[in-house]
Amino acid sequence: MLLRYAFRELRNSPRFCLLFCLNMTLGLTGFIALDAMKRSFEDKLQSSAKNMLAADLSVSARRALRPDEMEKLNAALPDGTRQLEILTLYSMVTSAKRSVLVELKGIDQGFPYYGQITLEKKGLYEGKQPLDLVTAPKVWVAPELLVQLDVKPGESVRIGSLDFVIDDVIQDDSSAAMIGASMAPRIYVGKNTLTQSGLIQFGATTTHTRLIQLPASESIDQVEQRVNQAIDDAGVRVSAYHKSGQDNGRMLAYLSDYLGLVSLVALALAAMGASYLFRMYLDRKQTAIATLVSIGLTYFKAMMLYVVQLTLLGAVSAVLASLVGMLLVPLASGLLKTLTPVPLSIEVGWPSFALAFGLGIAGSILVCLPQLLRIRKLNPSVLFQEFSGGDRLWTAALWASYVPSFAAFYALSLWQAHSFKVGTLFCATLLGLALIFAFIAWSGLKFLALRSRRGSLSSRLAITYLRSQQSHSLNSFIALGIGAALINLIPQIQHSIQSELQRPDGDGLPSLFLFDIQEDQVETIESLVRAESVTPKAVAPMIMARLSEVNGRPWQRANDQAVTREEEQEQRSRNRGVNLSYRSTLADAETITEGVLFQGPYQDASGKPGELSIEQRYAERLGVKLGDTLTFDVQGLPVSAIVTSVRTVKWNTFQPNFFLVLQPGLVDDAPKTFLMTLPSIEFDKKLQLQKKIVDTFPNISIIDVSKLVAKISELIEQMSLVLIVMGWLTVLTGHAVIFSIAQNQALARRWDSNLLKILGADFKVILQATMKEFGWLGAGAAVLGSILGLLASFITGKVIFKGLWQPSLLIPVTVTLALVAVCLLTSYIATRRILGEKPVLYVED
Amino acid sequence: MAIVEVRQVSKEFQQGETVIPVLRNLSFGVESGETVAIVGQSGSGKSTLLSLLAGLDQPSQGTITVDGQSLGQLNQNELTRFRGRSIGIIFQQFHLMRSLTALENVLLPLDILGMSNAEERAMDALQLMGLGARAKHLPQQLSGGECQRVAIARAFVVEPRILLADEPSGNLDTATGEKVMNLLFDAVAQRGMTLILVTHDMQLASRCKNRLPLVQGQLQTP
Repeated sequence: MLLRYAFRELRNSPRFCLLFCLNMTLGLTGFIALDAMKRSFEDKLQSSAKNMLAADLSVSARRALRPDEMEKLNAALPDGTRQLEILTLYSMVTSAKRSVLVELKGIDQGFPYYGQITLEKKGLYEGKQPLDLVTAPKVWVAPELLVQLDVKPGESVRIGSLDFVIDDVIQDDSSAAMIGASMAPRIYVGKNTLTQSGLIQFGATTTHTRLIQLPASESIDQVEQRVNQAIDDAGVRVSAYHKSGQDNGRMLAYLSDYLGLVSLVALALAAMGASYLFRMYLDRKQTAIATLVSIGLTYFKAMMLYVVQLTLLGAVSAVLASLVGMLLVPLASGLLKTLTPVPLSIEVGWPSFALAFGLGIAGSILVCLPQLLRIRKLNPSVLFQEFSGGDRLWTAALWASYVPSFAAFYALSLWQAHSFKVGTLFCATLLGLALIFAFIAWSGLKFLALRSRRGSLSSRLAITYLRSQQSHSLNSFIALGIGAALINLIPQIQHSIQSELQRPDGDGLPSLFLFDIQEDQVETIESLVRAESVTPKAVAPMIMARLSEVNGRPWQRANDQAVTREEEQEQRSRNRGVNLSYRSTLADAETITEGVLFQGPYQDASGKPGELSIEQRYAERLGVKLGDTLTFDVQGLPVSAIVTSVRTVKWNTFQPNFFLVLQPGLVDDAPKTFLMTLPSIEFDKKLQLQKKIVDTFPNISIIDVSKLVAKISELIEQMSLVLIVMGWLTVLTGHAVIFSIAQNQALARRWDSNLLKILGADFKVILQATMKEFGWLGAGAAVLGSILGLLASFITGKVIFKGLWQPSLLIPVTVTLALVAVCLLTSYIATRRILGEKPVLYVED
Repeated sequence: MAIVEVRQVSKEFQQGETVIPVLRNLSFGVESGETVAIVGQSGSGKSTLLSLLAGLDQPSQGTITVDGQSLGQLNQNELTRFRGRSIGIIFQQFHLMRSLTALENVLLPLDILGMSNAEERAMDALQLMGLGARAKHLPQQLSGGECQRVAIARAFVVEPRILLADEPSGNLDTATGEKVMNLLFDAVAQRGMTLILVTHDMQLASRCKNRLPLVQGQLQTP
């Protein structure tokens, strides 16, 4: 019976149904599309993770495993296990004309255990086939290298001290992670010939990875745990294929966290709009509910009648959102292609449908709960009054009824952000913004009260409307304002980052970043570049080490499953080798936040431990503070140092910056390599110099910083674009709220409008009044939203990006004008038809 | 025995800090099958008294017993069920559900009480009101008199022992009002129901067996 009556009521209220579903659909769409994207991505990642790792398990370090570690590893692995070692490093490759930084992968017979490499000439290559690359100095190259090096298959390229023939070209590679984000194109080479090239020498940034294939019956997680326990060096990384897959998708995971939060803003605005619409709907239904109660329907059943209606509307919204999501996801696939490690085909699957239904139905009921509870407070004696006023009795129970929807929203925020800190900050910011908007709107209405007798008739009417319907005005103002703040914030941050990348400190970025320079090569290379009239910008030593103790306690590797992003970051910081450097002064990009930099060079005779300066965020992740003693294993020798200063570093200067800098004199004699940056040089000269360096020192690798910056800019642009699309969806939802309110207001003012017409007011005056009302609301919210968006971008820039803020005034001006225009248009469309009706005084029950 | 007993009932409304007395210390009884008109000027408290008799509102003081049941002893749900079963109400503004047809409006209380042969009974009630041909029409497609007849059919379709009517002809023209009231009184007589109606129309009041004049919230002795 309830279902039947609920359906009939809804059928009789098409405008309410349409607007309610419009709000909820818009609010859910972003969320569902994003969920579909995340699920498709995770599914794809999981299904291709084994191929991407090319094994079940990997054990990797920036050095070869020691014999004792190999013994422990073999003991931890079950019988029937297969394993091989591959080498990965970044190095320069030269042809007769050019030199290019590449990712070298030295592989051995049996690689890959899973997946395949498709080659242009040979076709499909799998691990079980014989590997030509180990028999002679031959390489398989990524296709773009043929262009970059200006070579053809069959010709030679030089890697280290050996010439290699280009045997084939890679068409497809199932183990190629981070396609778009890879720093350099890939070359496959035989491990033995790579070793003969002389590149695998001390200090080179080579990763030694043991790929392990387990018998099918073995539990990979258990073996991973055993290996982790057997090798306790934090610098040795043990990864099961599924975790390795997650690592590869980290960039998209971070992006989707923030997209999730932006989509939640849309959902919150939609909920606000839906709640408003339902309140208006129930106000109109008050008599009907009272009638039902008077003829014997219990309050509970009356409430259930509307719960059923909300369920139906929520379900319809969920279906519509899923359908719109289906249309949107192909667009998302295109936008995200450079951010995903695997080609992505996104589709809205059953789990996303289920989420849409859950959120649509539960969300609709939760946000309307306060209105539903008002049914219990309805006094049916209103039926004996000619006009029934709304019951606005605020009780503790009514206030409490808002709690479930806020709690659910908070839970969703934590879920989306994967971070207690970020989720809480997000909710607090959103609430803070809503309160600021509400306060300013309320103050504005008070101010307007002073002007209510001034101006033209349409202005006075607009002021009267705004003041008499305070809750509508506040709802509109908050919805639009938050949207405006959001769409200002994202491009402002993007603009700041890109401006900073293009000119970090006024004197430009370095043009080349050199690494893997051996100690005995430093002087020669300095002379070489000076001979070309180029003065090195910075030269820094780098010592590979392992953190072994903190305050005398052994430093343990974190093996637990990380739940939040903070835990993930902490684990990554803990579970990796460290690079140490030493110098006596601060670099331009550094600022001391705590303590003081070194008190002169280290004095061995003093008997005191050395001093250490640590980067602020790295210290937070390790849980290290001023005064703590850190002990490093430097080539088997323990070196202890006390943290005497904490620094912030502007990483985007692209200078040799380090998390850990030691006092000079403490580890100066340790085996090390050097990093060097060269200043801005004109393009042709840069290419010549690069070729000359690589010809002289084949082991030195060079990053072209301008290319890297261009790549980062492109990534930021892509990420911003996706965020902006989501931001606009929020604004669209804000407009749906405005449209809903404008429609309802026009309906509610039908009587007033017609009375005005009968009294001789021009149709234009009434329309102008409505346009002014919503135009002022839109302009006020857009200006305030832009200011707050700008302020938020300033805080984000100063706090998160350490002083990075380059505002663009074009953004707020464009956003404000666009929002006012859309707001006027929305209110015009919403009210024109109703205001244009013949002046008949309607009598509504 | 009286089917309705009102004992020392008062009703006050709070408006800001001011207390407005609407009904003052009323006591009266209505016998089963009796027809009673509560008459008085606008603002005399007639509708308030009717909402108290229907259990739609509670008195500030005193007790109301309907069909042997003290309304003050029932909680909201019990009161709602009791009203659905024992009291039919006719409103001046009809209060029909706009989304339901005439027949469905009459079916509504039967559905709520889960009564058998609901459709047949509703149709009978409509036919009794002369609206058999208008069963499929929505309220907005009916005239005021027809709407009121649907409302009357809805009120007595569950065969309550008591029928309460608030200015039942107040929104109708004289001729239509008279025609509709004839139907109402006929239906009441046929079923032996008790009718309490509120009106300021003395001609309508005269059709009732008893009249209770209400002046400034107090009953006047004839």
